[in-house]
This record gives sequence, structure tokens and C-alpha cells, in this order.
Amino acid sequence: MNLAAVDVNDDLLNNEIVQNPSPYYSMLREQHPCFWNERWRGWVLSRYDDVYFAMHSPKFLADRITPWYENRLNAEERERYKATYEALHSFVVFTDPPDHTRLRRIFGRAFTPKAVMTMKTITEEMVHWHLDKWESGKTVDLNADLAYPLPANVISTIIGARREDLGRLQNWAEAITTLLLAGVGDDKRLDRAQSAFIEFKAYLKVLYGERVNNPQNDMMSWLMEVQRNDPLLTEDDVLHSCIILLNAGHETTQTLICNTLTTLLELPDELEFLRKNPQSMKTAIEEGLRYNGPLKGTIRLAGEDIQMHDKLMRKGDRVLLLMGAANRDPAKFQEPERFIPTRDPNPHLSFSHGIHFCLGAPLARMEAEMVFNELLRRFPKMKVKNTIRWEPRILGRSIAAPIQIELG
Amino acid sequence: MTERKLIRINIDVNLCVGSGMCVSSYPDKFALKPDGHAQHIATTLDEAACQEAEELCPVSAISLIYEIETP
Repeated sequence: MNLAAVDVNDDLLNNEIVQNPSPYYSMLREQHPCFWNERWRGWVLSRYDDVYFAMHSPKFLADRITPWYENRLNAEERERYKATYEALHSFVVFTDPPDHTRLRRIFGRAFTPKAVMTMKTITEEMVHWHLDKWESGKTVDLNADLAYPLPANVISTIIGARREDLGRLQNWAEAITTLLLAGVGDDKRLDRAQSAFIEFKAYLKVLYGERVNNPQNDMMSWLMEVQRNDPLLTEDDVLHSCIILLNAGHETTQTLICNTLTTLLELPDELEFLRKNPQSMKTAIEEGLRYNGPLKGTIRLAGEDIQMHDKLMRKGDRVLLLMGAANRDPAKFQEPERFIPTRDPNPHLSFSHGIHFCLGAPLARMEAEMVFNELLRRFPKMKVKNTIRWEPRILGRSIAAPIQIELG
Repeated sequence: MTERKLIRINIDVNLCVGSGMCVSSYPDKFALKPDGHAQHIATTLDEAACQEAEELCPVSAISLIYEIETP
């Protein structure tokens, strides 16, 4: 047994680590690059090259839903949560090839940079709709008044939902996201998510029906077009894909907006530079993703026995890939602890890498760029009014509500 | 009248994230290298396939280079 390992704090929700993970990440990278975390019951990878390798290697599996459903639930529970399993099991983020290859094809045409340009109009209108209510001198809650509703409303509208239904979609998304981020262990969370899956799917089925003979210029119609030309894809695949779109495009973009803006507001020189050079906002957003990305980590399962840094990960073991640590690895990034808005190239892993690379990345980038440039133009002197406190989460890196901003 | 002729396909390794969209669409024309980046492996340039791969790439890492011919 490695004695040094005994000294390593294995509480990933420890407040000191949650508030400032950098020193902990640096210790893991240097001394325990492949660390068995006894409390979390899994391996933790923290070096850039290792996280990158695991993201690209077929030995690391993304389907952590099937083992939970088959081994952790009894027959009665399996029957009860069948709808949840079926929906989650068709989320591209939780599938491996060949299922992944088939499902990912649905999105092939949905998020091409060209398609995203057509989403620009919707985003622009939504950004103005939200910011027009804001006035200089007032204090707003960045999260509740903008970062939370904006991405949800944008993606719901892109999918094809009517404006009067946006509130219902937000509630469904919230129930499903809570299940995914907080874990599947709790029956109440499971029941809430299950109802959301059933209601949301029924709602989407109506949209689907309306578009069979009458395609629109929206995501549902684009996905249906792909399905029509691909005999391996089903109506359920399309409906489940819309569910994942709402969830994926919702909380992560919300967190990207909050994390990056609050980081920037603490750096007056960089902020002033960006106000004068809005064309540099693109690289600043990449730096925001690297510096305080919405996800600290993502989970894989070892598909076979894997040897790494003299440790043996057994087939079936959980592995936490710490993008947060990889993104500040001095072996990959110069001055990794500094926020450099013009950093380029910036090969951060916040959108993952390989076949699970975030398919909504072009939309997230476009939304963030539009929001930040518009905010800096309208309110050049805005300030954060309260202390930033990070939420205790293993995978997500998000700021506890509220985030009060005084508009100036 | 001028005609465009596709003479090369470029994959920018600084942009490519190995999403495999090109590979899954045309497995006989694209492959992932051991470092995770995509590579064009066909010996000839299939213009329709290359154009589709360019369009599908989620990070716009693929670019096509044409030669303008004036007959």
C-alpha cells in the first residue's frame, strides 16, 4: 500500500477544495496522477495527457447507466424506472459505439457551424428580450435574471417549442438535470425525473406529429429529416435527442455565463481590454472554459483492465476524468493559473474530446459571445456585489445563487 | 467560364478534436490517428464526400483547397 496516498484528502466535496481546487489538483497531478479515491470508490485522473488519452481511448466506456440499471436496481425498480432508463440510455453522452455512432448521426446536421448561424437570430432576439428589462444603476441576479432562463429559452425555441410553453420545458429540464448532477440514488429525485421524462416526451410527440407533413425551420424538423433518410433511426431516437438537447444546452451554458463573467469582473484590465476589443471575446470565452469551465470532471468506466502509472484499474472500475485539473496542467499550458484572454491556441478539455466532444459547442460559444459583448457594451461598469461561493459538487463547477451584479 | 477543381483537403490539428464525424460518415476516406486527430486516408479526392465532411465537422477543422481553372 502506498503510504503517501493515506494523506490525500479523498473528500471531493471538502469546502476548501471546492472553493479553490487548484492546489489540490496540482498535488494530484504531481504526486498521484492515477489515484484511487476510497470515499468516491473510483480512480481519479488529473494530468492533461492522461485525461486526453482516456477521452480518446475505446477502453474507457461512457455507459454508466446500464450497470446502474442492471446491477443496482431490483426487478420491481427496473420495471418502475423503465422510461427513465430508456431515455437516459439513448443519450449520446451515456452510450458507446456502435450505439453512439448511430445516435450521434442524428445530430450530424443539427450543430454544424452553418446551422448555428441560423440559430443566431433566435439568440439575438432572446438576449435583447432579457437585457432590455435591465437598467443602469439597478442590481440584478445574474443567474435568475439571465444565465438560467436565457440558454433554456434559446434551446427550447430552437427545438420548436412555443413561447407560452417555455416555463414547462424549464421545469422538466430542471428535474432531469437534478437527477443527472446529484446522482441516481434518491427515489424522490428519480420519481420527479421519471414524470418529467414522460410528460416531456408526450409534449415532444405532439410537436413531432405536427411536423410529419409540415416541416418547420427548427431542430425537431432537422432531426426528423435525418431520421427519414436513415432506416436505423427511430421516432424515439428523435424525441430522446430533443430531451438531451434541452438538458445539455441548459445548465452548462448557464454555468459558463456565470463563471466566466464573474471571473472577468475581478480582472478590470482584461475587462477593459475586451470592451475595447470585442473581437477578442472568442479567445476570452475559450480561456473562461479552461480556467473555470462548467464541469470539473466527467465519469468513465474501465472497459477492461488498464495499467496506468503503476496502478491497475480493473474492468468495471469508475474513473473520474478531472478536466479542471487537466486544464491547468503546466505540462500543457504556460502560466496555467493566469487568465489570459488572448490565449491561442487553447486546447482545453472542457467540451471533452474525441467522440463525446460537446455537439452543442458552437451554440454555447455563440451564445456566450453575444451575451458578453452586449453586457459590456450596455453596462461597462458593472460590479459583483456579493462574495462568490462555489457549490459543493463533484462534477459541476457552479456558483451558489444569487450572483448580484450592480449594473453600471 | 471558370471551373473549380479540388486539389487538397486540410485538417487543422489545432482545431480537430477527434469527434469522428468525418470518420463515421466516410470510414473508407477518413480515419483517426493514434493521437486522436482525423486524417484523410483515401488516395483520391471524392469532392462530394470531402464537402460533406467539411460541413459536418463540429469545429470547422476541415478546409478544402481549390484550383481555379480557366479553360
